[in-house]
Amino acid sequence: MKLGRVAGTVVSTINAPAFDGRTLLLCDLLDPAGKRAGGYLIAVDSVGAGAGETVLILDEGTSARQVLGAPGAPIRTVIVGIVDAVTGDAVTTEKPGTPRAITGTATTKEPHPKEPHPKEPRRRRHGGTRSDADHG
Amino acid sequence: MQLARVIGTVVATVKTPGLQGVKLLVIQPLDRHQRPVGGQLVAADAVHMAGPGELVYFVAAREAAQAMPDPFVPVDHAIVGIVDAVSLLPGDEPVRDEP
Repeated sequence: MKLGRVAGTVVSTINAPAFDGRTLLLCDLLDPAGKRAGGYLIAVDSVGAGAGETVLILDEGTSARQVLGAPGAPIRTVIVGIVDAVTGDAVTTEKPGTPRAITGTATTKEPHPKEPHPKEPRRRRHGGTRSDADHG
Repeated sequence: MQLARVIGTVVATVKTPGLQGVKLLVIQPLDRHQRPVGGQLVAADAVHMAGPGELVYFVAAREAAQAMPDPFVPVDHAIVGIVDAVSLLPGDEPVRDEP
């Protein structure tokens, strides 16, 4: 997996059917210190990442299709996490002794939150017979 | 997946059987500011609507063949969408020393 930062969005209406309803985000690739490593990827979002956030990018097809639950889809690159912090020696290679973390918005988001149904289930009348209310 | 500009078409009469009926386009990969980067490629058109001059995004490797009607074809780059717009964060302007 790779570290990236969401740099923008890509909008497309004519696309392969597997991309219908999916969000495409353009992500710069980062090194562990949070600097641009060069290059970018267009990734399908699966966690609700927003612009400017540091993200975890999966760039392997079989796993990507598994994450999205889309077998057979021509998708290889998926955002699978929002990074809160990166720590360790790899982060401090430039300035030894000064630990430093990638600045990112620390958010905990549930993937694909399901909204409650806006309408209450309708009470059905008994077909062809009088309802209970009429008895009272 | 990456951005690319369609810059031409490829016509090949003699092809391996799996490539019969597959439209082939020459694409130039682009960076996020839509400037050419890297070498040109021949990609299969999986949306059947891309043409020269259009901004598209393509997928590479095994997933390219997954985009085709028959997923067992010898295709390693496929155009999977036509781009309407790329919106970058404010202040993200192209600079000369960008990697």
